[in-house]
Amino acid sequence: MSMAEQLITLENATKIYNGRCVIDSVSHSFCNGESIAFCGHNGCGKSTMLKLLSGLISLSGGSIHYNGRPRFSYVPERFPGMEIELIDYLHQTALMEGIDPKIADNLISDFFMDPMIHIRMDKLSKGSLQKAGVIQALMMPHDVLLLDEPLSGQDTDSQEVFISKVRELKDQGITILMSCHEKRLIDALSDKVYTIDDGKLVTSVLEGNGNYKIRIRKNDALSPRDNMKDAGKYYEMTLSEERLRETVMGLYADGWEIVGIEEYA
Amino acid sequence: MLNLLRLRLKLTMRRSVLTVPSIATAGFLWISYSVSPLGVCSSYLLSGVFLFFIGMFFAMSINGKENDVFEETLLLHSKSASVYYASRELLLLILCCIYSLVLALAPVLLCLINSKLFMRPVEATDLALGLPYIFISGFGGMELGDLCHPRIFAKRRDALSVAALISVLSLCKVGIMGFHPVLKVLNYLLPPILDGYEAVIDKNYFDNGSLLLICLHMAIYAVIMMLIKIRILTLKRFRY
Repeated sequence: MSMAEQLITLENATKIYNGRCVIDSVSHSFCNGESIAFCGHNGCGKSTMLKLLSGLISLSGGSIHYNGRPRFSYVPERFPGMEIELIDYLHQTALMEGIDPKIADNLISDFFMDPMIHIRMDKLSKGSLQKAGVIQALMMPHDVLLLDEPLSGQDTDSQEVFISKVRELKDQGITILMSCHEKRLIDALSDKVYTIDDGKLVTSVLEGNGNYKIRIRKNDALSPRDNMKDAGKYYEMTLSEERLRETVMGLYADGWEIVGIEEYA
Repeated sequence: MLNLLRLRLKLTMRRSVLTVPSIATAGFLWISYSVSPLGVCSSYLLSGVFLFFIGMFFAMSINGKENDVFEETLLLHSKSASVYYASRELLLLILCCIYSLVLALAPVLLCLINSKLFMRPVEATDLALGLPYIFISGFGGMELGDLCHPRIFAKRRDALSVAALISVLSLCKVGIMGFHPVLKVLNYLLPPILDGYEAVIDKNYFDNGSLLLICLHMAIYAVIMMLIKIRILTLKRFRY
């Protein structure tokens, strides 16, 4: 790993809260363009790790070095309800970032929040507030995107929108650091997974259960097989590793177009 | 920074933090100017002392309502930490300016309505000296209140105790300094809340030089408080 690639380096980073060592002498480098998930039990220090990396909270010991002066965008775990209308807040935030407020309007529509724009944020539900937190971070993503349990409380459709938008950012080379419990999100977005165990950063290998999901484009000229499930524009099939090769060959032979195969937990 | 300031102003207007200071100011004006005849200088000086305490209360109300997570996102949306902290200071300055104008213009307007309210007519020089005095006193109070920030004093009780201690010591520092020459150091450590009364000649006119020195003293005090506070907040960062 070359020095130029390293974006954030922790050297014996330690954080102590009320006498409890949440992060214990962690030394690690995070590289530009990486997408990393931090896992672990509640209270293990995932959110603390994100805030330490962004410099929002101070270290109790050790040091942190940045390659240049990276800027961070942040989706907090619980976005607070403030005494201001949603649209007012998001437009002001867009202006603060020097971007057109229409970008915020588009994200509001993408996340199905149009009916709520004139509601004061302190009157919004937890899920809607979480979406507000996502929109404020995604409207002008900086060098590093910090995601702290970003899906909590969001409806399924919004979760899909969120995943596709973050995937786009990942493809653009934005570094993604995420704290999360949901395997679906980790599988969809993360290149590396670390577990925070007893204050230490432990590399995790997420093992699948040997099942695969195949996504097939619908074709009116062909009648679907029994094990094909309707998924909007596509059909989906779930099958074991042993049957994967044979099934894929069969589908191609029948004239189906396969648009994706992913390991399925 | 202007957009961040605009957002802060909107939030402040929609919170109840303005209610108590506004009612207190109205009450103060009502009570102060209901008796006549009044000294012009003493009216301005009293307004300065009043705004010092209201400013302190005001800053503590604002920082007490700050939400750490929201402030974290604001900091990250700001181009730099300096912009973020400057927007907080500008908010305090703007509010201090509004209250100072109300308190400084009130005697002028009341004098126009009732010329016998004061022992002598309010002159342009009174306004020219009284307005900056009130403004700087208010700003000193606001900076002291903002120094008692929840990120600096984790317990609200400690913050209130520090603010009350400094205020009480400032009010009675002349008496305390009489006990021992060493205690004269308090003159430099504490805000000059009541020192303005020493800058009045013949109980009727401001001694320009003395009043400007007191304003300068309060301004230096406020700026030092501000720099200390920003330094501590930058070093301590957010709590969680």
